[in-house]
Amino acid sequence: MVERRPTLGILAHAVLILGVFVVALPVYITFIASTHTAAEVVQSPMPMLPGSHMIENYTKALLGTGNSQGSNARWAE
Amino acid sequence: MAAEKRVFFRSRWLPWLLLAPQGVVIGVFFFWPAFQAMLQSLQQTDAFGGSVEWVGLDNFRALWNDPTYLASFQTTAVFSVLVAGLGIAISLLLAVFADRVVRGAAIYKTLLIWPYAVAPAVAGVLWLFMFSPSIGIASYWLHALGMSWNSLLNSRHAMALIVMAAVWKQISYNFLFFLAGLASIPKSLIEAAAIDGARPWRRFWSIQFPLLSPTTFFLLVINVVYAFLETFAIVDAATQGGPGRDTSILVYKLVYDFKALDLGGSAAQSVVLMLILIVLTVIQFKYVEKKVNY
Repeated sequence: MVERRPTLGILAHAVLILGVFVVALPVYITFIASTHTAAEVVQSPMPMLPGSHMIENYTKALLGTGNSQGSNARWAE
Repeated sequence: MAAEKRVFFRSRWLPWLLLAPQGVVIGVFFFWPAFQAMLQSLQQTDAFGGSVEWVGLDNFRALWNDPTYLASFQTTAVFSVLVAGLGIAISLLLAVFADRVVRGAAIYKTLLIWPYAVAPAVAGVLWLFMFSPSIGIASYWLHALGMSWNSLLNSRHAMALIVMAAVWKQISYNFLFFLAGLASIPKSLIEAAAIDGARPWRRFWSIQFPLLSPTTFFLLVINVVYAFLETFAIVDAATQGGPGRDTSILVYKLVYDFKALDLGGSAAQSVVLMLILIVLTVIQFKYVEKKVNY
């Protein structure tokens, strides 16, 4: 920009990072939830790191389970 | 204004032919349903579509006397002011800072724009999931901070939930337009102001904000229409108008009554909603547009 103002520069980055965090957080949490079983997701607090059921859940979501239950997510281990 | 640009068509019928598809689309998807709705609002249909009786303005009188309908006016007013106001303010803030930073600007812009691709219903479900009083991760954090969050029982919390979901969805759209608007401001103006000694805050309010006024005006109109109409999916997914009727905005009540097979009443509500939006848009064009510097 026109002149260097360090505090304004830091403030700009801080606000932008906060904005990206707020904007990205719901999607991140949903992605994490899609990699766990439903039982792991409803426990409070939900795990914040990816789990091991990603392929299973996505296959069931895209291809269906064949039975008529509503949710295709794996319920429990 | 500079000299008007006009395109000259030599043939007499080609312009009409080129406009015809758009005209057909508007006719079929707006004028015909609107006309049907206006007609239906003046009739009373029985629930199974068997008999139709002309009742004139009775449906409108019933709406006027219905306290839940009047309550939903207030809910909608609060909701749209919050959504339009916060949506524009937050995205303006982010756009001004994103325009300012040099390092990582492309990353910030990409990350802030792509949520526009999320459908409103999905946005409602995402936020419902995060803020669900029993299993939501954000509810857990709020409890840990000492706040008893319960959007299933507390109307203010429910309103906050749908406002957050609606604003989240719209931030990307507004951000994109503000970025484009800021980029179109000549840098020489800002540099001239800086040479004259203006500080960044003053430069923003005296130069950037007035020159952004066409963008802000456009986004204001779009955001108000969005808050009235397109947020139906968010309310339906997140709170279903609850608790009770406390987040039942006008468009949600309309569809709810339609599903309850009150065809005349819901048609009357849709006519009222259309009139409200027409009036709001006319007001904006008449009074706010005067303050826009083109």
